[in-house]
Amino acid sequence: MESVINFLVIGAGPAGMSAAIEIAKAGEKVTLLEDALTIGGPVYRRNLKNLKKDQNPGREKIRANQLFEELAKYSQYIQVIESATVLGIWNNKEVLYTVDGRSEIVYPKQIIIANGAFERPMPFPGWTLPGVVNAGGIKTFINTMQVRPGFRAIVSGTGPMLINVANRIHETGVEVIAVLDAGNPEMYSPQFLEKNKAFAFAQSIAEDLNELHQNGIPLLLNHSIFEAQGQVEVTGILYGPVDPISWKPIKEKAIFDDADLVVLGFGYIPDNAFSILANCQQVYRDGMGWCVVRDSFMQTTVPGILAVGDCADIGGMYIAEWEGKIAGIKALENLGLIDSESAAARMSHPLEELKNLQDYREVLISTLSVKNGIWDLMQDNTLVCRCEEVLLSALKNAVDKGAKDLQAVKLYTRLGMGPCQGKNCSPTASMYMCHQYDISPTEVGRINPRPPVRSVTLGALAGIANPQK
Amino acid sequence: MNGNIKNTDVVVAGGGVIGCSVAYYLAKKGISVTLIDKPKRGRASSASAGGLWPLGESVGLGCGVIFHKTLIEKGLASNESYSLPQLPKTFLDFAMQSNAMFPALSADLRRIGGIDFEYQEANLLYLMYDDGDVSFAKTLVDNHPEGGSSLDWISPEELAKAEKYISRQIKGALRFNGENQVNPYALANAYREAARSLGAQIITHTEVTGVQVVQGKISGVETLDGKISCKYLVNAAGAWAAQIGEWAGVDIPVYPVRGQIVATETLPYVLFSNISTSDCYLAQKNHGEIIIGSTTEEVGFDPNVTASAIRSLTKGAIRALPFLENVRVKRVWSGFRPGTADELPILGPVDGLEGYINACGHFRTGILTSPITGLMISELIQGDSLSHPIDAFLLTKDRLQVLGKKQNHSVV
Repeated sequence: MESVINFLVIGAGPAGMSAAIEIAKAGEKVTLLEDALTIGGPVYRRNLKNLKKDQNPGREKIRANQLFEELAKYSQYIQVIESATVLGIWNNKEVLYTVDGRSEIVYPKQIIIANGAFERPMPFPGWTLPGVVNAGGIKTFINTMQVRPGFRAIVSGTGPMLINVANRIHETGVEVIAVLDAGNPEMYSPQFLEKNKAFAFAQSIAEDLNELHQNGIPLLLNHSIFEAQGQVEVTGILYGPVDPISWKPIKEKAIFDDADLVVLGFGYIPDNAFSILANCQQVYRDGMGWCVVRDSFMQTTVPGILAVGDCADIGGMYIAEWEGKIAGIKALENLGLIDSESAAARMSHPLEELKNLQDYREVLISTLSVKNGIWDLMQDNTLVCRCEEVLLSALKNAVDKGAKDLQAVKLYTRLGMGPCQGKNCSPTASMYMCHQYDISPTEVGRINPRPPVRSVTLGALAGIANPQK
Repeated sequence: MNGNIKNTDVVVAGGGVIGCSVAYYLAKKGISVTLIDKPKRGRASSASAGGLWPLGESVGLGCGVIFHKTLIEKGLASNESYSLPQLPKTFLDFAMQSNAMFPALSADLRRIGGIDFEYQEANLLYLMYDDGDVSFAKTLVDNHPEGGSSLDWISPEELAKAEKYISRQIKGALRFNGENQVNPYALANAYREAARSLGAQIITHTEVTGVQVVQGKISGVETLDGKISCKYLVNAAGAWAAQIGEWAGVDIPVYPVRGQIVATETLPYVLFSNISTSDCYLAQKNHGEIIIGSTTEEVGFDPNVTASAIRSLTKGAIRALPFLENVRVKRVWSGFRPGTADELPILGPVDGLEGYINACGHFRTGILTSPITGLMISELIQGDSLSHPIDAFLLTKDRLQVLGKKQNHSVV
């Protein structure tokens, strides 16, 4: 690849694909990097086996195929590189990525970051046992491996994704004990679904709830997993009710059951590592975490860097697509490749659609926001940092010794020093510290990611082509 | 928090390895001391490889030789100029005396504060890849201040027997015996917890924001959490020492010198010596990670890491230990060495400001010289005779003139 290019899109989910397509529509070349083996993102990802045509394609598959067809239509402009992992991005827009064991640096004039969100880790006793899996992980597992993931499962978390994943695993033959939603989402109510019935997201939820009911799977509101039990893998679970306001587990009412699979879906956290590395300003959303500051055209506070989709702020796939379109158009305008009138004209419909989805976003975010009583699931000997094996007790000890932010906690306990760079521990540690010790999120701060954000070999890094001095 | 901070005799500003050491030695003497620190990103104590290499560092190994090669590559030094600035004998004595304190210190800190800083006896190998490296090494042996007694010339065959994983593409190695290593931030933690056990007040969530001077005497400090009265202020703020100095009305010519550092994933123990080459230095830590350093850059307080440094450090590491090609990098980070133009620390009082004491400017050897520094500062305050002469390290008017006129060695 040439090192100086006009447009780089990082992430080929709905947001990234939409951005690339908009750029290509103007006849401009764009490079689209995708970390996974194949494009699409967690929702639309092409089945690796990708051969047979679906008899009854679901809503997602239909939309996915539409996007893939458009990408193919513009293939002369869109260079898709799969298995390409971005390792670092600098304030001057230098992007380091690796593919096939080689590393390269590229200098795009406009960067659209679209690398999505990651699932919120939710620590509880036994959460690191084999058999405890995140919802996204289990869907990918089923899609790519085409294997039944277990025999008897509980699904726990919050939000409509739980309903969907319960149906998916039921399809493979797993007996789903129940779906436990810690909250009581407005989104499940008949009033909400009726009011929004023109929107695809509401139709999806209604269909999923219906299917759940047909499958005979109970939906227990204000309930949560409490513990996963077993010696070397999950063999049993404790679950029960939580307080509706605080989500504090009512452990006296715990119920035991046999299970070998615990599927968790406690919401999403924007994967904003790249925007942080590039020094884009962030803003804290209560109950969720740090999000990227953007203007109405998806531009971050660093000129030439835009961020779209769940990596910037949680909104789901429909919002992601519109944001991607807007960013693609804006990026073209920034380089003077389309004039302001054309840009405004092209953007008007996506902006309108985005506006219509604003209420939905607010409800979604509110649904997925964690209530602080849920941290009571943890006990002193529950792991908070999996990479460095740091228990809650060590975190508490560090705070007692005077650590009031994540940086200090890190230095005392090694929390956040592992390969995941704090993804699996800092959301918990940060919210726990804010809540337990009444410290503001800005004071608590973050574990700062550093390049390489993914673990790669020295060989790959030693061979970096064309770094600027 | 105001009411909870007690007034104190000594405030130590800065809780890296130097500040923690000072707090420990003061507390050990029963002196009332408060350590104030807000762990900052880029503090040198967490970016060090933890090598205790008094002999090696004094002849420019470790960072010096890498930096020199970078200068050559940039055309800022000639290939023949293999006479690296050697630190004066007074510094070597200082470093050697400090080095000798570590075994007892390790036992003491473990006993008093409960933390083990993973002191490991090792040696430092200077690898010679080519004739240039060999002639440089010969110069080192000839001019070595200690005479040749602690240096050994190792052939490739002998080296292969002792260290299975070091490259065979070498002409040999120069071994500095008795160059050991520690876990640098465990060392800071160990001093700090021992200090706490001995009665030091440790405040690690706030920082000094001002210094109060009344009639030429230190009277207290301001912090984010309120004022603290004190008689002595020890400036142990590392790369940030100039700011503390400014608040006290003293010109402290310390500036940040960034070093980038790479850590591999945890490995079984494969490397028993520490290695210094013209590309990088390497040390395997107790945890199993191999630490690879470093760069020497003047970029202000920019804590970022660069692609070009990542490349040159990993390349250099593979050259020394070829199996690293397929080993994963766990993280890359950076720290700011507290640089001084004459490469000597700044210790002790200054004229015209009673109660103010410097413990800063430790540049590349802070870990190594932390025990002697802490001890000497405690002796100064207590009025005991000093364990080591301090004259070379005082910030006199003459020295300030020299340090103020430093050249910019920016090689980024």
